[in-house]
Amino acid sequence: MTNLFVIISCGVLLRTWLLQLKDLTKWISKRPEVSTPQTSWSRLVEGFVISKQTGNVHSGDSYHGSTLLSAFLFHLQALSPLLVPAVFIACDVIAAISLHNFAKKFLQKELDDQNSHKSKLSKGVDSILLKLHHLENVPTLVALIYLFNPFTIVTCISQSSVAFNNLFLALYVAHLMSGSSIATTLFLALSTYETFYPVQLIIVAMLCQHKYQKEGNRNAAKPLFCFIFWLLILFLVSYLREGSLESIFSHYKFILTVPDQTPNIGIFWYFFTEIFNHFQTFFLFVFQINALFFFVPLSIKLRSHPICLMFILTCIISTFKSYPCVGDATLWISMLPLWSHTFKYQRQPLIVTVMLLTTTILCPVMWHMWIVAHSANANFYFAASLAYTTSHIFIMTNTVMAYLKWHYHIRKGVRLNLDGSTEKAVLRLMN
Amino acid sequence: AAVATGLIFVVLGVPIWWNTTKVYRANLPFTEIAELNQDAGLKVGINVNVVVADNCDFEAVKSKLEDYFGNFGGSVSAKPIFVKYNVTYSPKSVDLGLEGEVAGTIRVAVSCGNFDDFKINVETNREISAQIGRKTENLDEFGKILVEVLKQGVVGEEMLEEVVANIRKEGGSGRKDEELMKMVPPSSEFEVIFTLLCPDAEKMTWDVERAILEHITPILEELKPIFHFHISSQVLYSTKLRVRPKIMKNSTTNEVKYHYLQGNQLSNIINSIESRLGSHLSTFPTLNFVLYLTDISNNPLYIQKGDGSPSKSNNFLLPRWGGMTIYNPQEGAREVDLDSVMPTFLTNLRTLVGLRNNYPNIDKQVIFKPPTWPGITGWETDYLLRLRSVENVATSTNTLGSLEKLLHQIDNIIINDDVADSVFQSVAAIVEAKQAISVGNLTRAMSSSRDAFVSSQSAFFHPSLLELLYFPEDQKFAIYVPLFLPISLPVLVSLVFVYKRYKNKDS
Amino acid sequence: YTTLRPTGQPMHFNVLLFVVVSTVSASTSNNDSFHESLNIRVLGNEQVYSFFNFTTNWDFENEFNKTHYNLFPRSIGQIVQKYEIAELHFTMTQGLWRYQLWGFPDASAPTGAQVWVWFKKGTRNIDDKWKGFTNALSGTFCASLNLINHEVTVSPKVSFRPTGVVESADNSLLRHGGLSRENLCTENLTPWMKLLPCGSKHGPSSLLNPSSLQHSRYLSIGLHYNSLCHDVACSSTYVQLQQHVSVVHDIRTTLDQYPNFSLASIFDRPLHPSCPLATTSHTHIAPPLDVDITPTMETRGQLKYLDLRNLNSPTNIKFTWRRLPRSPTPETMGIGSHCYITGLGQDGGITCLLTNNEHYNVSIIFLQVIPWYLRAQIHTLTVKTNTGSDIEPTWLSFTPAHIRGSPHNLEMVLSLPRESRVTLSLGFDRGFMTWVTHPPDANHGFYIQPSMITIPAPHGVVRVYGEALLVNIPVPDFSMPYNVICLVCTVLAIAFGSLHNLSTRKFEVVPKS
Repeated sequence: MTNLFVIISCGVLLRTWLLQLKDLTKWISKRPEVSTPQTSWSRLVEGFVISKQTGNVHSGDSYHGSTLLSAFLFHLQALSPLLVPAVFIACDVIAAISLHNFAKKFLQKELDDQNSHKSKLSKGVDSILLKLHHLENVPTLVALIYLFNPFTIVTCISQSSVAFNNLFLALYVAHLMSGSSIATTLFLALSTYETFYPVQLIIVAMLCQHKYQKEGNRNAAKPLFCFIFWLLILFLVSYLREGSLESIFSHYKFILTVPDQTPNIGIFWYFFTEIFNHFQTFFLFVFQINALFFFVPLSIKLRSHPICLMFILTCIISTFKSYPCVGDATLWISMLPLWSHTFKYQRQPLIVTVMLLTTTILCPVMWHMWIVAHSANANFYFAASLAYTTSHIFIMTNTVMAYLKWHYHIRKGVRLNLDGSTEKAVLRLMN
Repeated sequence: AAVATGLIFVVLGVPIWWNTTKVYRANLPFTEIAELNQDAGLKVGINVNVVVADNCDFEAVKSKLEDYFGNFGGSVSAKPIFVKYNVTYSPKSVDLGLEGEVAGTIRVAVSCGNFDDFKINVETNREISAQIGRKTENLDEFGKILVEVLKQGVVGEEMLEEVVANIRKEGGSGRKDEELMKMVPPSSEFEVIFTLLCPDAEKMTWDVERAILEHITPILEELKPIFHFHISSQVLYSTKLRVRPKIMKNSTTNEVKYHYLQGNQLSNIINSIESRLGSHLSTFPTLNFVLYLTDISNNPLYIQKGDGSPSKSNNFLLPRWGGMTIYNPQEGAREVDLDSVMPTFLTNLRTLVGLRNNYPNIDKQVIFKPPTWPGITGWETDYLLRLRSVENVATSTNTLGSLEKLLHQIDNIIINDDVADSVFQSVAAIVEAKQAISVGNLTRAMSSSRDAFVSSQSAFFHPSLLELLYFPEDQKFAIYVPLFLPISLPVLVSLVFVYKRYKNKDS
Repeated sequence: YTTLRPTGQPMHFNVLLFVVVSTVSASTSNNDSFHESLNIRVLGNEQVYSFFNFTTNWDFENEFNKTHYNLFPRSIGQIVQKYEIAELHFTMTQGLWRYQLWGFPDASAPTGAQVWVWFKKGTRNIDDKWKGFTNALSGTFCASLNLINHEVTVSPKVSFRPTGVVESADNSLLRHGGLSRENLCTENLTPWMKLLPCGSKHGPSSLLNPSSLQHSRYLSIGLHYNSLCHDVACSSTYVQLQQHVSVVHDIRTTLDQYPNFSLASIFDRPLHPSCPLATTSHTHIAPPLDVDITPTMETRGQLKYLDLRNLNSPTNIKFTWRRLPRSPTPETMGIGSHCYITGLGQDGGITCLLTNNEHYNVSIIFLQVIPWYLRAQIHTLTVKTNTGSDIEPTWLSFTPAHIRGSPHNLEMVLSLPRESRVTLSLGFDRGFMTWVTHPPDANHGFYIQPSMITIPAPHGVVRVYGEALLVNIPVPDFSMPYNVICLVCTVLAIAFGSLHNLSTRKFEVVPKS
């Protein structure tokens, strides 16, 4: 506990210090990797000023977030300008705490699961099993990584609204284990209300309900209904606030039709800058389906590992959504230590990690060369962001693959033998 | 799981792909268009109402005329037009007294007198009055000449054939080419501009509004079913002739009698003023009627006719463009005397529209009465209605045929609903017009053929037809392959395995 | 001195006037008249400013639906009738008017092409009519005015008022479009001169020699059409078509010995006697001190006046200096404006320096139109005086842009304090366009229309225009569509492949090799 307290206070101090450096803050909040047309703080302020003129915060094409978020932040701003950075720091802290709690609960459950199924395990796998020291160290590690991840820090000091998204998802994840589907779905609804893509995570809620609840209390459809209920409430509240039906969906329209081709760290912008008009609608559908419909096969495969499913879906969302930023990635990066016991089975972890680091540093450099120094062109930045996306894909598939391998190994033994021979064997995926 | 992936692929993917990338092609009546184009001959029906006076031998006249009409009715040759005469005969006592004012019907009033030869007068309304002498052999001659009058004079069969042959670019004898060249091309609206060119910058007033109202507007009113005219006028100052006229001197005293322009210099005059005429506002063709005032140094200026004498009317016609008259003002006059100028412009207008100013010389007994107010006779209106209807129908059929060929050859062209609507409308109008022409109902024929023409033009020249023209098929390949090849292969392979496993399970 | 165009009896702001119908028997004579004038002003010792003004007036009753034209050009009459236009203003300019050095021009115009039109009350489908009108005008003047589309068209609320008689001055009937990129060439001058009754053979228009005009420092041609009343009771109305040319020549480059110059040396042509069709035709010259003008002209007030109708042959007006002129001092002109682009990289901003040299506060209307691809941010708008204090606009209206649609439109009513300089700055972000939306020469940059300051004056309005600004936008690589498609699809395929493997295959043990 004290560890957590120390970590949190260090994190808060670090952020407060960084917020004092006005120039740095300003420079960071202009980075396209950090703030996208959907999440940028300056667009929020612009929308605020425009709404004083025209009455609607979504008029014109500057602010593309949701109505309730803008209302909440305006009121905060009106109360006191110091309140807003404090709220963002608080978001980070609460998210870190939730992740810590979630990690604890999850590892506890896994350990219990493992112990109860000891009979099914093979001999000699003790070295790779989940241990108690995992239970002690990993949650702190999770909170530490979340708070001190540079991605999180830049999101916080640039006041990008991704912080709220992360907060809601962290709270959602924390309540997944506890079984209170009302709280779970509330946070999921809040997150879906702001950005559309987390709607896939409802499957996870349903599966968790199925796996972790006691008999007789299981109702897999309950999360679904609660979710729809919360969403309707949110729409109702924003309708009451705005008075018109149009603008509460205008930010969904923006997310789904991708009209703005501002560079960001994702794959949408350059593709839709360069595509021919005739194919634009078609490829829009393809890309959105790609981001939205992976949950079907994955949930069939990973139906008994809902948290793993949640992890991979979060990865997919943060990589393939229409306006991603680095803040989206912090959530799942901080969840990586949950599977530290499976790291042994990852393929080339060093290369992939270094790839991620390199591309993260390369992106601002390419941007500077393209926009400020005019000595490069758009392809440089595009290539760096493509490599960043690829590194994400590698990390996520590696992690899940390693987890599944670990599951296989603990049933079949650490050393694999082909029947009747002593040759070394490897594990491959076969049909 | 594999099945699920495959299902999503197929169920969602294929309809979306189809819907978002297909070229929108609305349905078109291709078969009807092809039919229309193959329909070789256009049937033109002419209604003739022969009224025989009581003092004639009704039966003799009727049988003689029937013979001659019969010779022409059913000639099936390779001509693009079949003209069929529906002749009714009635004795005068039964005649209902319709004055021949129904468009499309020609009334022949035959009376017999006590003189030697016959006379045929073509009146200024839709009536031919014929007088036959007592001698029987005149009936033969009379019948032949009467039918000639109808065929060449009133109906103008040759002109109809030539017009259609010209549009279809096949057949045609070339005899009427000069007249065809002078006629304005088909269009439903025209701008008519009267221009006064003043060589210097002294202000001239001309009472053009009244003059147009008096001389030109009546004929334009008559032609309203065929063309819609917008009239305007303007005065352009400081426009000098760019050609130097020749001087005709008195052979003895060597003083200047007059200046003249030869025929080959006339075309150069228009070039220098062309840019100031014309309209920027619409795509309708313009008819320009230009009145050029000579300046003092060139006064008087005449156009020299082919025989070397100066022209009295001082007017020349530019085919399909308009007409120009050179006016020599009196010394010090500030007003232009338009009453002497307008009738010539009227003649120009008649030629441009397609009417003949010189009637065919069929026989010395045949007299065509010249038109009075409004400048066009009743049967000439019919002639023009018929000619223009046939022309419109032929042009529309041709346009639709070209459009059909084009759309079949190039798959990529988008066919909007607008274009489809226009084509359907045009086809329906063509059918209606053809039917109306074949029975001789000229008013309906004109309005339907005009609809057909306008719709076919709007379909053919619609800007949306050109949108996707330059997107080659093989580039579509390059767009789809990078994504769908690597994606579909594993899906297919896993589906195959699932199928195999299913089969193995069964067996 | 500043002269504004002498008009009939123009109606000012808040116009809701109905034309009184007077039943006059239809007369057949065209009640039209043509007036021409030339004003010459020497600017300092370096430049001379010539302002040509040609006016055609035509009486009408009830509605302007004439089809028989005499002095009034037929093409303009037909355009105005077809598109139901109540008032039309069109200018094309090449060069920049230096307000600080030269004072106010007789007619102000921004660089490039500018068109604004008041449509008649009750016109339907105004946007279609606007599009048709710009295309017709583009054909008439051989200029690419058809590029004025919804991306450059705005309907300002207070900056424009009808200068003539209109039925309704609702700003939904107003359309304004500007193209700063448009160059003025002889091919625009020629059709413009064809609209004059006398062409270029008589009167002041005989001086308009296209090649000498192209060598000028500033050249602006304009066309203005409106309806006016004959008297205050407005019992009879007439339409007025004004065509003007403003040209500023350098004296130094003329053939004569500097600093003496003459009209022939500037324009390369003599001045012909007046057009016989003109009812009035004269020249006004504002002579500076120390200048002798030949031929001698009568003096009217501070100006020299010459009636061109009294000329019998082509003449030349010579200007001789009695002693060497001093170097020019910038006139402390009333209001000045200087605009420029700031910012580096992705940020940008427009800064305008507004100078007020008068001894009293001046209330101005400021208008700036910014295209949609530069995302102007109204919350960064600051208005400061040179002493550092903020100025609060009396009224502000900001219409934000839509992506690939209407531009940003900023209109402000400000009061400039006396003898001060106000800095107005607005920040923008450079946006990104898809590769098909880029014009062919994408690296040339994109133009922002000049800012406009409207100053209400007792007898009309005075407009001061800033500079046209050129902004570069980051461009994508235009040669790369298929490469991009392949690369992105590769990444997607990698993801799909791995995830597909993950979800459809099971682990099995196989030999290592």
